[in-house]
Amino acid sequence: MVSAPTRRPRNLAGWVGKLIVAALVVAVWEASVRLWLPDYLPTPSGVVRAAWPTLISADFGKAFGDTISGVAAGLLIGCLAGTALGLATGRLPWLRYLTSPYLSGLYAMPMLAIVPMATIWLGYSSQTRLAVIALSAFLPCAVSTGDGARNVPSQLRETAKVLRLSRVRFVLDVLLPSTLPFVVAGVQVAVGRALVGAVAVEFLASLPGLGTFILTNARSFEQNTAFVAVFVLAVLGIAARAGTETALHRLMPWHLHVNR
Amino acid sequence: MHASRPGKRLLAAVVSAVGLLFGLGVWQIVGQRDPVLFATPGRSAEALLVLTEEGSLPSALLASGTLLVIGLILAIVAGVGFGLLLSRAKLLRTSTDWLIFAAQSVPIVALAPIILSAFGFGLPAKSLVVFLTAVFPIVVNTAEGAHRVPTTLLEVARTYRSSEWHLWKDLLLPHTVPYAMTGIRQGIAMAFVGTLAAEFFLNASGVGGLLLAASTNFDSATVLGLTLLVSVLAVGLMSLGRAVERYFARWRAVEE
Repeated sequence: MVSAPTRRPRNLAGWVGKLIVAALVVAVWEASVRLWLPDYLPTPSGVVRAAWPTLISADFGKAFGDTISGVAAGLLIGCLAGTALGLATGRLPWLRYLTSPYLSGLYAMPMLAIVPMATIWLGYSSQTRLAVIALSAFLPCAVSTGDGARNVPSQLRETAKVLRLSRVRFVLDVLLPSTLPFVVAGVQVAVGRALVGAVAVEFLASLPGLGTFILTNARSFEQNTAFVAVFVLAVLGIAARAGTETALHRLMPWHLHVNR
Repeated sequence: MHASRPGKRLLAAVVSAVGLLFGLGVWQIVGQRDPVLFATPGRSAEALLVLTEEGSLPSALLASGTLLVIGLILAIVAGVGFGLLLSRAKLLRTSTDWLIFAAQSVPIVALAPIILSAFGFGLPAKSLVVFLTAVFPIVVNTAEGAHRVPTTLLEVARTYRSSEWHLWKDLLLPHTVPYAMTGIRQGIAMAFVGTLAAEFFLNASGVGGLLLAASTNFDSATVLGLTLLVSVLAVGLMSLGRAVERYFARWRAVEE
């Protein structure tokens, strides 16, 4: 729709537009807190001022470490188990039918709702966090991988049959490569859910971590500090998304988009 | 292949039912062995029945439903509106795409304590939480769909000097609706997450409030029953969203 010669000015206009929108957001936020909202709320200037002291503080470092180690361990367990189950359910119809009521019931459900039950079973401990994170990661991995493994393109399946590939070769050379984009898509969803799950458990079970860091600072009117932690969580989410996206392009340059 | 389809579906249903029965059996056994941490299915059903009779469950469902619907409607209006606007205003799209991406990445649950202190814990604040969790998939899908209006059709419309109003009514809207519905389907699921988050972290009300109360009382029968109820509700909402999406999917133009 845009003719080629106008391209440069448009690009420039785009950048100017981005800058204007950014300035507008910052100005409206700052002004509305100063003028109408309670003044202990986070403001852009306050968040900037609080950013460095918060990031280097020992409290934040410990909270960050607690949450990240929980998320990493939970993701590892959940994604491995989920992907394995997904591959199995994709290839074994009876297993798919057997597990589908559980998988779809749990997958549809907000993981927040599982936290009260988990705290009764596992107590107000980091085990609860690990379990909730692992389950939050397990479900999207199992569902996405299951979809992928079930829908191996029929040309590939037929070719494999014609070539009389052994079961092992079929799994290694056909099933895994064609399912890989779905595995990555599952992991991508899992990371976001795992971060949210971790924060939710920490809120409800008051476990040490970024969630509790946000909660205590928000309650003691250190909202700017709390917001820095929210910001860090958002950046982690973006980084994980970008990382999995890059992995997808590196591993499978031919496969650009996977629809969930 | 098509001949064996009904048979296959029946088999699938039977195996799924066997799986569910097996789970129920395990639940019964575990519930009898450890009545404190677990409760038998019967006791959970009884607990839900008691809650229903005393009226707290129906009123909680109503409160949660109201919250979800308010937040979702706001998200649909704002999301579809803004998404459509983005499709026509290229400069607006290039200026705000980063903002939508960034805002989408903020975990709303983590923002709950700040929303609590900014806007309190009344219905407006809780609706804001639901709105924020649900709006982004709707904006993104709507904008994506509107962006994909075939250039040929746009050019034909321009050649015939179609007015902006007619362009929207006859081309943009009908083309975008199926995409918006995909966003709304995802939005419904997210809105449910937002509802629970608002009920957990702003003020304990609705189904989330009941769950929290039962959990602090260590009432495992009620917690188990309510957790299952939430799961059933979630599946129901998801199928509702799928049905809506499928209904409008036939508007989807065949794409090349």
